[in-house]
Amino acid sequence: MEDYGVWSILPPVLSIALAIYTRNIIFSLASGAFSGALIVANFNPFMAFAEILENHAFVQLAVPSNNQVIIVMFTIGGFIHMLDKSGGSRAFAGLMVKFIGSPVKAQFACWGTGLSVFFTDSGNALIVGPLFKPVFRRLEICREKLAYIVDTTAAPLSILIPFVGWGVYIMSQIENAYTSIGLEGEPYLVLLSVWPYQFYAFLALVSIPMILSTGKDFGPMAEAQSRYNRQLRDGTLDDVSAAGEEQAKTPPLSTVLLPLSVMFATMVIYIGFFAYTEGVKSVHVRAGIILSYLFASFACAYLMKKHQNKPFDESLGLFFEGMQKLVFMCMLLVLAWTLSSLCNELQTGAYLATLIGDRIEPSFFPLIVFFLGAIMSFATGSSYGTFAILMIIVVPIAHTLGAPMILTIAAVLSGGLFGDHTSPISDTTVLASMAAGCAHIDHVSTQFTYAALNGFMTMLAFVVAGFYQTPYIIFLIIIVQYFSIRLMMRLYGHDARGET
Amino acid sequence: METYGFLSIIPPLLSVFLAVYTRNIIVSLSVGALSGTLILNSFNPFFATVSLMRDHVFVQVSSPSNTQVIIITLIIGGFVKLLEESGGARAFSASIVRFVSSPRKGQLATWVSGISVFFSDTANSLIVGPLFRPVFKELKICREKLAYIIDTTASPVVILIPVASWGVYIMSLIDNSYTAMGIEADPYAVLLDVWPYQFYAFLALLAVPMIVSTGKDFGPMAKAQKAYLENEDNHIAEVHEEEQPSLMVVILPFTIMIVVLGSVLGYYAMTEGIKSIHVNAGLCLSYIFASMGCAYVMKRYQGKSYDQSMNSFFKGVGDLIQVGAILALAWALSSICRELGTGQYLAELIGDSLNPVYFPIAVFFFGAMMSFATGSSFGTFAILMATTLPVANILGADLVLTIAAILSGGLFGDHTSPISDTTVLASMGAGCPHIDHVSTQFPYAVITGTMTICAFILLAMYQTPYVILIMMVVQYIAIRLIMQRWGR
Repeated sequence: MEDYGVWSILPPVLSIALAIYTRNIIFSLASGAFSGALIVANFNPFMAFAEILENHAFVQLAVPSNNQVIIVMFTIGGFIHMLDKSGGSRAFAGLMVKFIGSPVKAQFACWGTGLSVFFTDSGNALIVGPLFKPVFRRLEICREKLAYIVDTTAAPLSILIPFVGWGVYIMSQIENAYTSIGLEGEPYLVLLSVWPYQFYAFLALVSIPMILSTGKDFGPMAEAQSRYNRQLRDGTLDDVSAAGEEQAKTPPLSTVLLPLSVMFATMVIYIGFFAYTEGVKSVHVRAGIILSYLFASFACAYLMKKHQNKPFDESLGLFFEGMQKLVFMCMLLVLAWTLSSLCNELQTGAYLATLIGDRIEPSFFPLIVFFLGAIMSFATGSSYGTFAILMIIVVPIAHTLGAPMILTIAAVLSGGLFGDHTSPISDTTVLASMAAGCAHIDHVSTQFTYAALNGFMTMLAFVVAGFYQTPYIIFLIIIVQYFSIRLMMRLYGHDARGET
Repeated sequence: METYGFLSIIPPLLSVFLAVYTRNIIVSLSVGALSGTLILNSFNPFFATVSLMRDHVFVQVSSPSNTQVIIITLIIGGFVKLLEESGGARAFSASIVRFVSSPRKGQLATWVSGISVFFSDTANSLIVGPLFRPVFKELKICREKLAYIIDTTASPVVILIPVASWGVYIMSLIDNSYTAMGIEADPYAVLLDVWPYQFYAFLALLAVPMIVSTGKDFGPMAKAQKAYLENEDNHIAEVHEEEQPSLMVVILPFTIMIVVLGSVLGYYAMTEGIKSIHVNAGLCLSYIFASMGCAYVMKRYQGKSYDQSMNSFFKGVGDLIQVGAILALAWALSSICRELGTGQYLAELIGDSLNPVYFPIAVFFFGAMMSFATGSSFGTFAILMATTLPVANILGADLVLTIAAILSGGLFGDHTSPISDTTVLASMGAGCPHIDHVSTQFPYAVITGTMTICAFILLAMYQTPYVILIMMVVQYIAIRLIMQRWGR
């Protein structure tokens, strides 16, 4: 194999630079891949095109696991869309509203509802937000707080569930990176061992009850609350009339419970069966996921027919509409696979590893990856794009350096998530402000301090984990976070609600 | 391999029946496929569903050529959407309509362009279809007719070109069974001998101008046309009020497409020979570049940002996911049929008590049935070449005629079958509902099929290549007669 030297880092560097500059992740990945093909084809543009399609894109897509992933993604997309449209999720989330008395309880309820709608990330904000908007309005809690809560229970939750779109996507990235360096490993097992190290996701999720339990806010959030109070008193609140949004008719709860239980039952049966017989391989996991989502969709279609009189044809149409929503993500996957297959041919990872050499203590490598991921994700606003590009580069480096692999992957995920959470241009952030009905810029600035606190804790966690790698770190860091939030609140926090 | 006997034809039968009954191709294909895996797994529903996914859908979709077809299909969807949004499609049709002022000429133009795209069956539906869709709209001809024309100029043209992919495939099959029988022959020469006897291909091709020249339709096609006209009346007014976009909007993308495709194919033709992967890569590239050209023109003339264009591209890709799903299911079904030995079973039904002279006719029938049931002409060719040629050899029937009968039968069945992938692609290219395309095409294909049977009967009596000329005349008269009686 030829040695491409410094040329080999051009594709990923170009992709990252373009991603930050143009904020168009598809275009950047495609340009990066093309530059790689140019290098392989000795800068003959004609052959480069042939190379990229015939030897990389076509080949990668025909890899069984890769196109299974695409089928899985489409199936999940179809089901989620159907469930959203059936209105079942709203009924489900509506249950929680009943338990609300005090403002603190309302926020807890909002958090709990966010957690229970775990099966959809974009749906999360859109379901929970409108549902709690009137409640928050009645209890005079500012909308920025609502946006913060729904934003935090969206992506960080989805990333922790291995069988929704995020899990499947990440597994595919891991598998891809692993095969490129010749490492054996069932991707779902890797994902499970990465699980306890997803510090940012855990910390972000538990930070909400911690902050809520103090009953106080600090920094921009406290200011937002005071501003909200002022506006309430002056009557200058641009009232997005919440009353008019009362849902027309909520379908029965079974519309969401039945499909979900069908899904779980199918999944448990299939995966359980293979666990007892030939051992669970990734192909079984994927077949199981597809089947369980398919059966769940049948159940959903049946209930929609029964309760809402929607013909099956219409449900099938909804299913396909949902699939269409995932085209973008699948495009991203295809390009990421292509880029990674080119980087593999160019030996990018190996080159970077020799470049870094022993200048970096391998234990610190995850921390660096976390920073990289956070910066990239913040700048591009896309955690998916960040995962795609970084996974290809850092996994081989970590392999050569002897850095802890599981931690490195976890750092990619945490970094990407953190950047995405704080980034003003991320679509999940935009969705959250939209769903809560507050000005986008206010949501971003009020959330930033809270997210930064979690980010800081995550950094600490990676430093510690670099030296003592044990899953129990997460407990330790949660305790630390609890005390620091208490401390922060005592020093800077005040309960702005109701004050004039 | 186990033999499943009669059970083996249940999945295709069920699919075809459900397709006709429910008019929902996705449901019928899945049910058919599931019934097949049920049979294969001794009716254990658990294993049947797992194996359907793991051994058939997953495997078929990851076969390189299938994956490539899906990618191309999706990219073309994106391009077509872009072209629609740019208004280029309308500009093009407006300029074409100036030359082909009547519906009759428009359809003939489609036919000619269909024949000129002779190098690939999929490319045929996929290039000519989107190109002529707006023309048909302008001329107020229903999309089912377009689907019929491009479907007919797809496989029947390609099968007649010995150097295209079909020719190569058929030659390899002929070579295979000739060696198995111990006959020395150059497969290329055999293919050339067979050429004048490929009745179905010739007749189907010629049927298009014959039907078009009458200016009438009959049966389901006439109904489709009538329904189309009634629907369309409402839209016409608004279309004309809009400003006509510059013709550049369509010329540039299509020029880019042709240049890119031409240079890629030309390059490979000169170096390593055109393989199907090169055709696919060329198609992908040409559509991607054409889309970029389209985005550029839209930016230039209509001030649309690239981001917007990319979004419409993705929307177009999304529109075609359903087609992708149909293709995946159709492939899965045919792989299940292969495992069940459906074709084998049908082949065994051919008795050897036949008069050798009529053997080709019987082969034609079986070819048509098999291909209709499995939706795969390639699979039919493969099975029949391997099973009936030896029988023909023993019976003393004419080998060349038998081969011709296999090809014609397979083609006929494939053309009429709702579960064939070429039929799916044709409806996609024309943008009409798949079931409508199948039902409107059926009577036309049946005329050609009947003529082909007559041709083989005539041939049994007078063996001469000139039979085809007689049949053409007969078909012409027949079509005229039918149109006079039932045409509108």
